[in-house]
Amino acid sequence: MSKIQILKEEISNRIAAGEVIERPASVVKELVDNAIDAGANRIFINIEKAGTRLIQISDNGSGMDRDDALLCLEAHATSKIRKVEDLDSIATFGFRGEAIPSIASVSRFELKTRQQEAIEGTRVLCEGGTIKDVEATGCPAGTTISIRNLFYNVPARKKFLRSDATEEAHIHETALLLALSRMDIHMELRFNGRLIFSVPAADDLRTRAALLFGRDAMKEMMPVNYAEAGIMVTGLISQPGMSRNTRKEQRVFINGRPVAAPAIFVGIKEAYEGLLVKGRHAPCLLYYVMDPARVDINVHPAKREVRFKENHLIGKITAEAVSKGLRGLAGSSIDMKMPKPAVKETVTTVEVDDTETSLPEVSEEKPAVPVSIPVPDLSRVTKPSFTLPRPVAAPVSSLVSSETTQDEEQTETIQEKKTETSENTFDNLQVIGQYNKRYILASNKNGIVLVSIRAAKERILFEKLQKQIRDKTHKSQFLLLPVTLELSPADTRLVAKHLKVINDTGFEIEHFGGTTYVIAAVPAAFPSENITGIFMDLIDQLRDNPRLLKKMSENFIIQSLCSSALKKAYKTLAPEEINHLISELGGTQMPYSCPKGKPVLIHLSDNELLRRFGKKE
Amino acid sequence: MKFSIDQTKLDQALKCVQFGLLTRPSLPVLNNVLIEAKDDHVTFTLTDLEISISCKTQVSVESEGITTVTARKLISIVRRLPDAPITLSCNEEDFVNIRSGEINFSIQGISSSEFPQAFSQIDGSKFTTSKESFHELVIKSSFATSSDPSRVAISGPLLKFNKTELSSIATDGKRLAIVTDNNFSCDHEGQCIIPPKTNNALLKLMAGNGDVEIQIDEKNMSFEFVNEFDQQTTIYSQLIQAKYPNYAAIIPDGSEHHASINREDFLTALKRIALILSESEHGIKLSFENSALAITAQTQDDESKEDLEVEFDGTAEIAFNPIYLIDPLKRLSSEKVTLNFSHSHAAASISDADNFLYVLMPMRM
Repeated sequence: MSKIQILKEEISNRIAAGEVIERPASVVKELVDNAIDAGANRIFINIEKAGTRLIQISDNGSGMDRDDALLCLEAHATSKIRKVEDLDSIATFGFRGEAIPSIASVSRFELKTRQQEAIEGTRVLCEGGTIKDVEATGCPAGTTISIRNLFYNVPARKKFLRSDATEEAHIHETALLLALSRMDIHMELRFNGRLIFSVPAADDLRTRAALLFGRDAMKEMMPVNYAEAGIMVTGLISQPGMSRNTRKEQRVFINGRPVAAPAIFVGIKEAYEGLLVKGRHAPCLLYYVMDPARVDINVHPAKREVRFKENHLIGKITAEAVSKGLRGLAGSSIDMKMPKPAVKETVTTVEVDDTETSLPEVSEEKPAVPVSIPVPDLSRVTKPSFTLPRPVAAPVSSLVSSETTQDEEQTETIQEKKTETSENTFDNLQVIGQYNKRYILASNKNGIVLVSIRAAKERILFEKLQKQIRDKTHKSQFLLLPVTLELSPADTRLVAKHLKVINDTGFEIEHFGGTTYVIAAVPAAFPSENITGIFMDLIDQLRDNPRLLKKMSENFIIQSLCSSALKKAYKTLAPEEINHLISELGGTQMPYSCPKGKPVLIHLSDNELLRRFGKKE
Repeated sequence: MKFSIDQTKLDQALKCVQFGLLTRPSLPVLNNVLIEAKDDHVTFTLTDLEISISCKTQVSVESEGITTVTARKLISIVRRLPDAPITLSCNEEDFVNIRSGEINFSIQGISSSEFPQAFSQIDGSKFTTSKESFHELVIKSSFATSSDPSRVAISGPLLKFNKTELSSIATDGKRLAIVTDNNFSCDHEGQCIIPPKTNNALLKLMAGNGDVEIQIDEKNMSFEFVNEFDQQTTIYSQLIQAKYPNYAAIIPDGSEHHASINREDFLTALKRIALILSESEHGIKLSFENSALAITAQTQDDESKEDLEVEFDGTAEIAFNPIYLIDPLKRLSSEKVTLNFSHSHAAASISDADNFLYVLMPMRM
């Protein structure tokens, strides 16, 4: 007998299951993906004993006939891909045809399905991957899949399942992400019969996002709306004050699919640079719409991680989108509508705009690839009621309208409108007084505002210095005693690669042979203490995002100048001084946080006051 | 222990030793000043284990003894006592009594046996020099020391001596100051780095006439002198155990251009021109054209310019951080200084007739 054999189907299915089906939550994800692809607009998830006893997903999608029901249990049977070329334009969620056979091979599997027009449905019973029974049955239109005794025949996997609470948390998280990815689907999740959440089909992102972030946090979120080079970014981002110490709260969806994408995280970090304390991350919920050909989702069987053709561009667009969102700070009562997923009606053309992008690869891209992907309806994004004044209007640089490709003129008019309507809340801020020498108490249309005087002064000074320093060629002070740096091999490569970028900041770094570098000059206003330490911080920044190096080096300078300038910040201020401070703060780009990322003002809305005093709104 | 001392005398002695006090010592006894009455004098000593300062003053001792008492309390009490004799006494339990006329304080001290003996007799090089010239040496150099805690070796001045010269060298990595005293003789040669705290104490205590005896061994050094209030003062200090950078290599050995400038005029002009510069905008430009020097500064919004008459041949331009010029100029006393420089990448220097040499790096504008 020959040594090499083709694996039996059950075995290969079980191997595939190992990759795709790690835990009950992955089953939920795969099956809900399928339900969405089947065009369902109602999906109910029922979990018992954290998914080890039962995972039941019912949808009202297209359903299958008897042949299809049987075929879907075959490996690589899929309705979604026909030719190799289709792989490049995957718009559906599942596509490999691995999920159902994999799940069926590690559980007791029951499938009930009926097509809308069919009189009777089909019930397929399958145990450990072998079909036990196929019969005609009566059932509602759509598909219901029940997975019982998951991993009953894979004791090793079962042993590695965590406590019920942990597995439930994973399922909860997965279901939330799925609910957030499609606003037009009514979704329900139950644990042991107890309703966890039920979100009706509605295109209001805030309602759904509140499930994830909590209702109070939701009020602090600001909308993002940006498009460039055929990539559209919408969603919600948090004000700098509400950072977390992990990235877990940064959710990203690409073409409706929840993904992890390092390029996007880097972009978010870039936008929040100087607004957050080091090591903190801002919660965000971002939706990307782009030509499926530009993103490779076929990296990992669980489709969690994606790759981009233009990693750099995605990072840049993210940074731009988020910082525009941050600068266009919007308040609590914004009524944000979500992108309408294009299932059948909304077929939208997104055109790649060559002029918008600086990257050569993109200009080689064939323009005008019509794809049917969701695009938000910008006209329905209402004006925020709590707006901060913008000295310079920061309009969306290019907008993708919902009907056709837009032309230059159209963009112009939209921009103008935006500038006109942006409201100046700092103008109608009524100063009540000063408290404890440290805070200014003021009121505006919908509540009271507390301003930290020190933080406000820091922010004002920071931006003044920023204007003085930023984007100039820097004067260098040469060192009499050059500072020698012994770098690790990895850092050496990094420094060698970015030598020009470093020297642009006003440093003069020379290679001294091997892994030794010498700092011959530093930027003129650079803090004179701990040059080596700060320089090593800058090198770390190179690893993350070399574009930010100059900005970061400038921030070091500015922060050291700020802290020395603001040692004595507390005194009683005259009304004129308070008004001047408020108007100066209003003129800053980012009045909400001090340069170190701490909040400048606290806003207590009338509603919140009423609530705190126990009265109804 | 019991003795009487004039309020002024006691105040002066305590002021002298307080340079040895730490802000928050981990050892409680280091908060205390050691008081020892013996024969016809009392010695006050304070130490933070890195530096120890004692001051010996003549008094009439009624009974000999030794104790320690909280320095901060004693200093502030004595400061507020009237200018009259104070009687200080303590019992076996180190309970210290301070009496001035009708005023009476009793303070719990700590036994002198807990007071650390941080320094032993120094056995090494020994030389004597005048307090005045040593003070000048320290003043003219130590402003250039580094305040960066990560660069210990250059945090204090380097004291260097041979048979005929005593010099003090200081640098912070961007400039270097060397002051030399040629009126000096010693049997040995050697060098040591003085810690910044000791350096500060020296700056304050070295005023007045008289001589100072300096002893240096490998780890410690001592200064013995009579302070301005006629009190015998001894400072013991640890030395910084680090390798001082090779400063000789960075002294330029010949510059292309030499300008002789009136120090006073140069200093006032620099201070004026630099007025428009902010913390974030440094840099003034010196443009020489034969005997004319134009000092200019420019920021985004403002400009300033002043012309000076100097001794110079040819034309040249160079930029500096004005602080690095003002710092040495204001500490010198000579009428003229010479500025030697070549181009923006080479070290420049300032020298005067009094054995002062200052090296600095230009700026690239």
